[in-house]
Amino acid sequence: MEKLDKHNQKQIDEKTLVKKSKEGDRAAFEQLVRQYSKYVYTTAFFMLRDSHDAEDISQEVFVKVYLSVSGFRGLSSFKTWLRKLTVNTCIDKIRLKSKIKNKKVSLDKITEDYEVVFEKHAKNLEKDYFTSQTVKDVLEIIVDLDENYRIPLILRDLQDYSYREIAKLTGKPIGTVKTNIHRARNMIKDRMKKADKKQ
Amino acid sequence: MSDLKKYIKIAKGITIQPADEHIEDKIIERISKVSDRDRTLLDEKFLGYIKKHNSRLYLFTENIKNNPLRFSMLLAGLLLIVFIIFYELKKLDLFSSEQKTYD
Repeated sequence: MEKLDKHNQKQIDEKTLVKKSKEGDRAAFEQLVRQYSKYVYTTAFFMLRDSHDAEDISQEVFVKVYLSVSGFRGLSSFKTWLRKLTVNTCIDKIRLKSKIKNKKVSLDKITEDYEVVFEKHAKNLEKDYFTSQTVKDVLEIIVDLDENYRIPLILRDLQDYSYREIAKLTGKPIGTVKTNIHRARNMIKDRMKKADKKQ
Repeated sequence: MSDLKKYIKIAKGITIQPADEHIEDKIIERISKVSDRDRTLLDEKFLGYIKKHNSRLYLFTENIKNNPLRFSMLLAGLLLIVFIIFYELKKLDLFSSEQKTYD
């Protein structure tokens, strides 16, 4: 019950902040930035695998939101709108990078370290070191996957996009998207098994 | 698979600590410097996206296209309800006409 109240309160806060931002209240918009900047950064980081790019995308997304929030009708939640803007901006960036480098971005091996923060389930996970470590391992495997597998998997499993939406965004047939996601999941399972055997 | 699902479900709730701790301040500072030049970010593609997402009809059709199974089930359920109502009405109608013939 308390959880539900908190959720409702958060939604009310969000609606109020969006309403005030639409009216030009800068402080309200800054509050939205503080509330969602890490969410945008995380989404961008997983898609682009680069902290500088993720930071650039975060700034670009919030500038876009700032300039267009007055036109936001609120037919979906602000978070959903923000998520879709972030994903679209990341896809554009990936396309641009691929064009410039004339090769897939994913060929660059990730070398950066990053710190994972457990927002939800945090209390339970503190007690369960094994689970939190496995989640980190799974994320590490996802980040390390080739772009053809990583992007559809992230969109499907972490961002809840439909296969149709992913096909539209990535410009690939729906069958290819399904196959790539299936393969990506198998790759993760295989690598987890291998890691288990090593231990 | 169920194990992987469990871990991915937890992973949905995580955030990455930005390399720069002051990312929020940087974004806020960037917004304070927004100029007319930044309006180029709102290109045709972006404005098209905003327009679409402000349309109830577009969101409704997208929802159907993205969840065809759910929509088919909903439609089948509605048709079943309509059929039951129609059937019951017909039965009542027959009953009342039978009563009339008895009278």
